[in-house]
Amino acid sequence: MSDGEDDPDLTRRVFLELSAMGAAGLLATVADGAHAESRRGPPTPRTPHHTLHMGSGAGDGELFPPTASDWPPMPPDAPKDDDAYHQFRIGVSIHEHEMVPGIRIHTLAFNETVPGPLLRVQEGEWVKVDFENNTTLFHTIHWHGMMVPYAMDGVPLVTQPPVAPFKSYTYRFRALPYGTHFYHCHWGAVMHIQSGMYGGLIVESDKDPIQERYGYDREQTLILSAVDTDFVRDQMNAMIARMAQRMRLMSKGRLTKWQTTQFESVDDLLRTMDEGFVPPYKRSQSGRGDLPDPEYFTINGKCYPVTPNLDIKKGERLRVRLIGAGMINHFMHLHGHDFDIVCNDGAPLPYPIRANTVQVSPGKTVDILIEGNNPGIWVFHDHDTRRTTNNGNYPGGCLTKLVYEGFDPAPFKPSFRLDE
Amino acid sequence: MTALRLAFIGALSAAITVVGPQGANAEGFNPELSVRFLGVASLDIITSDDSGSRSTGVGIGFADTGAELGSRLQLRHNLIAGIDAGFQFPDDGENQGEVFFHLARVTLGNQWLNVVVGRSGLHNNMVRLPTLRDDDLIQFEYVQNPFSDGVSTQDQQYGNIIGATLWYDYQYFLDLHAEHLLVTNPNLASSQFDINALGAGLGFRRTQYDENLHVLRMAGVSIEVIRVDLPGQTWEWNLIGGFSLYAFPDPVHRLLIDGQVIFNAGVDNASILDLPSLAIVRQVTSVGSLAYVFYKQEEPRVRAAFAFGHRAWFEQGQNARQLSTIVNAFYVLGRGFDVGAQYQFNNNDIPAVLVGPPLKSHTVQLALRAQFDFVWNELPTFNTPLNVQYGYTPR
Repeated sequence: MSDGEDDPDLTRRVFLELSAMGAAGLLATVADGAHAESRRGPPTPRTPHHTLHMGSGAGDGELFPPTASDWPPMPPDAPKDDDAYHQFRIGVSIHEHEMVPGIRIHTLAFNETVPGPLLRVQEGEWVKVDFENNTTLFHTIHWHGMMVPYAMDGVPLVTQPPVAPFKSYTYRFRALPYGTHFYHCHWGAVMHIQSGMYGGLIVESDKDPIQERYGYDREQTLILSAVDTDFVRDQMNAMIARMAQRMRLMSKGRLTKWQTTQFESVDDLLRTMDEGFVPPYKRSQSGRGDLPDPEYFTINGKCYPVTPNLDIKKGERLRVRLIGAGMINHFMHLHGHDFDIVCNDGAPLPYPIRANTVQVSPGKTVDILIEGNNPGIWVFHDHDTRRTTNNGNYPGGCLTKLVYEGFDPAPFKPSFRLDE
Repeated sequence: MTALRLAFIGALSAAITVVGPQGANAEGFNPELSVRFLGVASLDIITSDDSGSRSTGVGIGFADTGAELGSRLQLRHNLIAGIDAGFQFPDDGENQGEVFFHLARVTLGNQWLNVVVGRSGLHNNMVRLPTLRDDDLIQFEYVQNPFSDGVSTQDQQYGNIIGATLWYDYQYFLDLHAEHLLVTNPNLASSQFDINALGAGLGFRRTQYDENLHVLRMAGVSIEVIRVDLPGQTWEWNLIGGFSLYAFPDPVHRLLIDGQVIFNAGVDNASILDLPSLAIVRQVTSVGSLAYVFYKQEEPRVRAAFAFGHRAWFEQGQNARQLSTIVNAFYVLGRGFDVGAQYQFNNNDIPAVLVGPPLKSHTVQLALRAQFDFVWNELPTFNTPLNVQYGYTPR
């Protein structure tokens, strides 16, 4: 088998599209960036597609340029007119992020923030998200918990091709169902989500069932995650280095399955193993392998003591939307209060469940209501107390405070004497 | 040698201490620990032709086999400190004992500075040649050590060093160092603590992750002055220039060309009298290599190389030459394990008065070569793709 003799396959087509990409276009795309943008009404003339579709070099015919009328496919009942959409632009780029003072890591950040921008849409409205990939890696966006059309689900090589470096993809879907949801990358999910590619997606309703049944005065969204900084760093470095090699081959139209170790099917894998390929999961015969072992535990991308407080006033009712975006279970416990669990995965429960600890599993969302009936400053934390640490040091990690505004008397201020 | 062994044991103890329960780990500062095993084993068939007298010998070689142990720890001010210790088995017939301790050093650095103190590789060469063992062309590759007995190779590669390398933009370097070249010539007084060489180098070395995507991989020049303390002459100086480049940047077919020239100004009126004197007669040494590596599924699968070394002495009234060529090929059985063969031809056109290398020799080696590494709690290297492209983060 020689280079380029494989039948054109999906992976190759994805890679080949880079052959049309010029250096000037690359720079323009990077410089352009992407910022949080939510628009209702007429779209601006600028669309990311025009800046991302570069040149007309060899291989254009094999690509699936974002401007092609048939890709991404239009959901059957989707409006043709952009004015009919609630529109967002989300870009992913590599960004330096400080989880806690002194601990800076490189992240894959939606719109240069971790988590990505909190998207709020109205139940039933059409949503259009222009997603720009401003990295040299592959990505998608999966709309977790949303009843999206098939081609909008964001699962690479199952529902769509991965979004190639410096390319874009347009997601269109109706905002259904009501409730607390989130979005995340579905390519290389172990590393990509952990390194910051997640954000909240709130589907609101004019007839908010929680407001109607229980009433609440304010709300806050807490997205829980965990980071193995060594794992993220090593994986990102390895992928950037590997993609630099692959992009060289892509530019010459020579990247084939024979040269990479990505497989579309079991047959692909078995055939390549017959040719001498040793799967990575067989390389390490001992030790912990390559699975992450997080040492930082975050709320909205931050570790205690810089996690966001929950603010409340006496007599108020606070709705807290908890999202398990990471890879581990969290057992969130509130001191000094019970709370009502009112939604599970976005869906209102038929009756509230009274508790003071709630499990937030990976991929799960839970909404709770807190009654402001016990003024003070109360910790709200993961009761798997290994996660209330920063690299093993307590206090830290997945810990925040419920803070009553105007609490009187003045709160306790920690102090100690060295001779105590 | 006793002092060296003690130094090695001390370095090992220090490495173990920092990872032990009473060491830095107890405070929450977890050091990186790395282990590297190197193995080179070969069946050697050597035919010598010395003034018409031919002889053939067969032997089993395991020189350069050894191990290295390293540990690094993050410090304040984004500094990372390191301890390295290592040993290897020297070539048969060398005067280095059963085991040679080639690493016993402490390092301190950040993204723009690296300081090394202790036993380490000498900073007086620019290239690494694609030979079975890293000393197969040693007499052409390094500035020759005038304090060597002329037989050993470790004393040409390793020494006691204090050096600082300044990095700019992760790729441009300025190296300053002072060295104690090991004294193995039995006729010279020996002390482990003399500084007998000084050097400086300037160059460019591309970051490893994208080096094969560009033509130029490395280029540099350096100067090395050696305190010979001979009557009428205190210093001998050497100029070194080297380069490494990819013939055509490609991730699958990697064709690497390396070259280096060393000009040794020598010692006035020095003559070729014996093996040690070969280091102090004015000479020009050059090496070059052409290495091909075929990658499949993003891992090396086949290696093949041609390398040569040439050395010409310019002694008043009598010139001498030495030439060595190497051809080898290896099949990569798995990550870090090669099986293959190497052929080496040596032609020594040097005065017959020397009791030393034969006039001509042919060496065929059938070899197994292995390098296994493992790192626990890995700290970042400074010139990672993320640090280079997206800003430096120490963690």
